Amino acid sequence: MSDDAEGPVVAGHTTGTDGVEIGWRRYGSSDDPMVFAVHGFASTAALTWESSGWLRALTAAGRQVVTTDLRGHGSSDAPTDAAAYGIDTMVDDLVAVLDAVAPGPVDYLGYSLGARLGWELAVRHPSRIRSLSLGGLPASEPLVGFDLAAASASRSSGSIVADPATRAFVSMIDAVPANDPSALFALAVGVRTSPRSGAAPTVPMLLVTGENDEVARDGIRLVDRVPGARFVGIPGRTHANTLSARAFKIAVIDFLDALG
Amino acid sequence: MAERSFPLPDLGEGLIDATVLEWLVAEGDFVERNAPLVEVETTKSAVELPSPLSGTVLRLHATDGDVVGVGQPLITFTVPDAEAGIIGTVPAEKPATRRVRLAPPEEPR
Repeated sequence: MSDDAEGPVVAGHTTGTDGVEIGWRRYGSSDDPMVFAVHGFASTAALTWESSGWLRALTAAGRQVVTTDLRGHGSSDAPTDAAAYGIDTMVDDLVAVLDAVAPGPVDYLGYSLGARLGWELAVRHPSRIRSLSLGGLPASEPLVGFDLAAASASRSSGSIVADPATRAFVSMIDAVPANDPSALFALAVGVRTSPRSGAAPTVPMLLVTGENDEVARDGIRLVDRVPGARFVGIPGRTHANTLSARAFKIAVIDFLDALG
Repeated sequence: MAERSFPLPDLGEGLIDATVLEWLVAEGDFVERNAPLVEVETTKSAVELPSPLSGTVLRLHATDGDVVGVGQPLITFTVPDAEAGIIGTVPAEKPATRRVRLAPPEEPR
């Protein structure tokens, strides 16, 4: 007997505009409406959506789920040149995955950097996105303060990173042994130098943030930029552990069910 | 009725313990196999552990906020005697994914 609670899995790669290979996986029944789930900085699709219980929750709620590893992460290629990591390029990667797997508009679920990319994807390609469920999304760009010189020095000489924000990013990178620090440093530089779109999505949006989220504490301000957007705060949860919260999953499933 | 206890499983990557974020079941609840049991947090990620069997929760060995070591008792169920030998197994790992499930202690006590 299969112990696979999330149903059949299809795995593939698709090629980004610059030749970078992007890995994706599809779970659940192809007859069900599709959720496209995108993880955040220094994580992977498996850590963000699988071991946290999201695949189990979404497939049990009658959704198929497509996950992808952002470039620089997990099963995707990891260039070490900052020019390979613009927000534009990473949005194009997501479109390439949708071209491969999604015949119609999808419900987008993103966390942290994955939420920011969803915002930009829905602004640029509104016909591809039916709704946005965005978790742990700050109103400002947290990677702006990333001190590349200090982070690189800590890697090469073991020196202490003085800036707390940079130290937190280095800890996130080090927490997952499979992470490639040089690729993620390049990503941090590429993302922080990408301008944030001034435009706001027009699709239905749910914003979810932990009430103790130290990264996205200003995220509630984004509600004012999107007419009709809903905000749900998760009591007692931080940026890292909001992800697995039952209340987050229930909020998203209820939001999607209400869309029909 | 028989009792079946499960320890905190090996969460991989050399992690030695985890903090209980939130129990999703209470003592006395009947729980279906694969239903969410508990959320735990490691230094690496937040993890939701599914139930390895269908049974009634007899005892939770930790409360929200407790740090539990890998291999320390986490939960005890009561199951009908006829089903006491039917337990969850850890499925074969697939590339690029890791499924963490509860499994019985290696040495039955």
